[in-house]
Amino acid sequence: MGAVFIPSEFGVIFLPLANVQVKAGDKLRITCQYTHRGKAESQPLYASIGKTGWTGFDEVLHASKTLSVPEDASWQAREAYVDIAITTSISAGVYDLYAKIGGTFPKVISPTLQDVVEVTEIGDSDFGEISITDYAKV
Amino acid sequence: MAKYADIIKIDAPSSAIDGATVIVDVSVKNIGTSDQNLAVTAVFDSTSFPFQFDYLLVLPGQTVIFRGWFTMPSKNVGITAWSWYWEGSEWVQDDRYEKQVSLSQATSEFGSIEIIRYERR
Repeated sequence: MGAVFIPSEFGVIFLPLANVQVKAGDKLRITCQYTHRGKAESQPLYASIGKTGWTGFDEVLHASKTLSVPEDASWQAREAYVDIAITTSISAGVYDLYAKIGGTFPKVISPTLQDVVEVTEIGDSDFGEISITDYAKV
Repeated sequence: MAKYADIIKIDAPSSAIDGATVIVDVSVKNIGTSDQNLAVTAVFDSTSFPFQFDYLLVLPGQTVIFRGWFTMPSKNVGITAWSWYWEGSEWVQDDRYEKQVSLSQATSEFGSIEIIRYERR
């Protein structure tokens, strides 16, 4: 009796990135993967936290750093990161993220990650508990 | 092993863009015990290219540089250089040396970017 051969198959698995909580004073490190080919050059890597609206991406906080890319004879995937300082100028809420390479006229722009950054407010001063850990004659 | 005209090295860029002039310096040492007329010929892939001097009279132990040049084509190329010495009635091929020059891109392109991680620091 013959057997039916079913080829192995992999479909698309969608793994949503988890939310991250930040507050004023933190830094958010955004790591990007990009592809490049051609001569070496330096370009800004730029990332922003904001909200996507009908007029586009409304940036609230952003940061950039200079990316020095070596010469690549063929397409090469590389990683780089940029840190956005979370300041009090952003109010509590849930925000989106995007990144790009290039200045005024970006060379590439990432897809926007929706609702991935939750900015929390720093609460009032609060003491949780107290206990005696040592005592001695002085 | 060379008899008289020992090619010590070839100085040339490891990469060049299409259309660039590639300078090739071939260092040749007279390893004989008497003065020798030495010459160099070379090709990139199968195309010969010129040198500044046809030949030079070289003292024993002396190293001279033969400078050649060619225009970089739109592909990687291999340089092969040969040294020659004059035997009184004809040129005799002596040593051989090879070097690769890869084509470098004149432009730079970014294909895509995506955020793969974000974390609080």
